[in-house]
Amino acid sequence: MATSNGSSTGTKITALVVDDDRVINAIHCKLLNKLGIENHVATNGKEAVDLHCSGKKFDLILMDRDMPIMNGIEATRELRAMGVRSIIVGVSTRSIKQEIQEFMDSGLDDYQEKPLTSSKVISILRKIDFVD
Amino acid sequence: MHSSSLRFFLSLNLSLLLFCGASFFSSAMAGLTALEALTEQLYDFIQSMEDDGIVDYHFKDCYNMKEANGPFLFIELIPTYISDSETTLEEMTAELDQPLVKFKHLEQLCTRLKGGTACIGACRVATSCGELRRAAIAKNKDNCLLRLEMIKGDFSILRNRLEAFLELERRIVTNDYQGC
Repeated sequence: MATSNGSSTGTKITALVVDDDRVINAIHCKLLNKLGIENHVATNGKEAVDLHCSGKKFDLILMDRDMPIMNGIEATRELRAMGVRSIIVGVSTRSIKQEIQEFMDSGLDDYQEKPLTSSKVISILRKIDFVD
Repeated sequence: MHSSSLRFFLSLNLSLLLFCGASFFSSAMAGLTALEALTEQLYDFIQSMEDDGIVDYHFKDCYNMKEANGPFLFIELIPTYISDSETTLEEMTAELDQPLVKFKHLEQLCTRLKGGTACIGACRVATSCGELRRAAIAKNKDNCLLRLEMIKGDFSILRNRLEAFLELERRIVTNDYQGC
């Protein structure tokens, strides 16, 4: 699927957390802070798409599946259609295989079940050669 | 000034200085000991929640994130979680009160509640949410009502424990070690 396009800022990894839940946004942002990853938040898929339309780029996108206005599946399809090559990881509590596959088919590079942990994020970053 | 008076004056000041320094050090040490005791009490409390199956290891992991994110992380996060969860539970109740239940909407509410709950490590409520979601997928209203009551019961227990936890945490971050 997508390949790493390197850090947008040249030195620090950047990430976009896309989730409508403010507790989850807070936790995921704190987790990324702890790992030294610069992060931003979008509260639904449309905000994530709009950020990219405005020229913003991110090395990593953590995409929730269920959001109002535009869900994670629609947003991922839209971003890929726009040519966004960032690593997009679907993050959800859904565990049914068909639901996960539907989300993966929209253009994800990976899927992780909530809750995210430091080790899950590190394994994602290792896959894209951002960490040793 | 006479040399003996000067010597006396200097030794008196030195004694006073040593006494103040010793008192300050003693208070600081007492404060540190009280902080350690309170912190130990807090970690014991987390362990008791884990032992009772209310939270899993994610809760402690979340809590330990405050090292990199500031001391007020949990004091801000937990009340937000409780408030948002109560809102979602009210919406679930309202949906199941309808003559024609929108099970898809109920599913979405379950997913929403489960997400934040799982992320703070509140495993018992998260598991109950999963069970309600399965009942909603099956469009079984009676089972949904039963599962919702179970979630409310589990959430009530969780909320009480979290509020007690927050009380300890507040004392730690506001340096209130009285009565340790």
